[in-house]
Amino acid sequence: MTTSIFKFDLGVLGAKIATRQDGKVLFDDVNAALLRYDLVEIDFALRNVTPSFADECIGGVVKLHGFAYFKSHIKLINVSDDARSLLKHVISRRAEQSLA
Amino acid sequence: MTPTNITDITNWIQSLNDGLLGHSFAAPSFVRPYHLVTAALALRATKSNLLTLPEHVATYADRMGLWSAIGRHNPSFASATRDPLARFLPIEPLKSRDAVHECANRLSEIAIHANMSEASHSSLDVAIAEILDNCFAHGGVTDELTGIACAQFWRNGNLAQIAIGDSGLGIRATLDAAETPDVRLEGKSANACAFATELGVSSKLNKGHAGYGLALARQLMRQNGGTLVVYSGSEWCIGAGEAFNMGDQSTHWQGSLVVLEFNTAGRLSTQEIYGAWPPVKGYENDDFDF
Repeated sequence: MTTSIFKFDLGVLGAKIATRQDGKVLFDDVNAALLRYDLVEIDFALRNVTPSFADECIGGVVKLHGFAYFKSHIKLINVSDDARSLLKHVISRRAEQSLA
Repeated sequence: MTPTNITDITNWIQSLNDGLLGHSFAAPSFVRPYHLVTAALALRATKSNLLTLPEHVATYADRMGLWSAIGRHNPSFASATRDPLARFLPIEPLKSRDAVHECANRLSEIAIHANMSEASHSSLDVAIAEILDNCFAHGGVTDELTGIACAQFWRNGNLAQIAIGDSGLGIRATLDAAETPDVRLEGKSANACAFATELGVSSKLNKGHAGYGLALARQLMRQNGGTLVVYSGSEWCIGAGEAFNMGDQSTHWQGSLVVLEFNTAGRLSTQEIYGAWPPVKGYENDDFDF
């Protein structure tokens, strides 16, 4: 059995990671990919994202699909120490809301 | 070099208001980015030429690119000819939300000029981007120029300042219009500026916002021993190191002004701040595999 994977690379030139609007663009793209692939991989390329971007995109996916689904379908790689601390907060906060 | 204080800002805003009415104009002897940001927005708001900047302010304004930022010609003979001793970044006109990323990148370069660490530079970049995005998300500005921002670093003082302003609805009006009753009700009895700097406070919680921007800026400045000023309408708050004060003035500023002033010999670390945010019960480090 094979697993289909779609990759997003936030390290590419021009990838915007500042605003909620930027986060919404990636949120929509990730959700579209989740319809067609088993796993979505997001490469942070060690870049630091804003809380609003992380919340809109990553937090948004967690809130929509739940934490268990997120863990089994989304893989975050090359996450900087800074972004790791932020993402843990954002993901757990939205996971709590998805249960409410 | 003394840190910016609320009296200086209030007096300056009052001067601008007086100048807009054609009255005599009290200019500061030492000009900082917040002077220019507010002057630019005041000049932009008025179609008349009642507000004439004093020569030394006009010279600084010219050097910082104020006139082109607000789409006007320099009305005075004052123009910058010498290299400044301090490092500065020209005024950034905030016209498009799509440009927030690049605008924050440019403003945060002040940390590079000041030889701060890459971690500090990155942390500053994140904080600025959040505040700039707030101008577009909450300002309610109808003019094509949503706001103005600029930055300066004073080498001799180990001090840098970034000022961001808009001429929008203001924080009070935004909180009063919040669609979440808790925020609306709590905001009524609170100082709007101080309330907006608390983690998790936003007028758009029901629209996916989470209230990170000003809270992050406040915590970052406290960590650095720097200063955060938020002035909106007649309300203000100021965090200076561990101290935090707030108040209400008769002096009114149409819109919101955010000033970040920090010690360039110190550090700025968003990582530490994120790590100190309250954990959500039920989730451990082992739950995350990245």
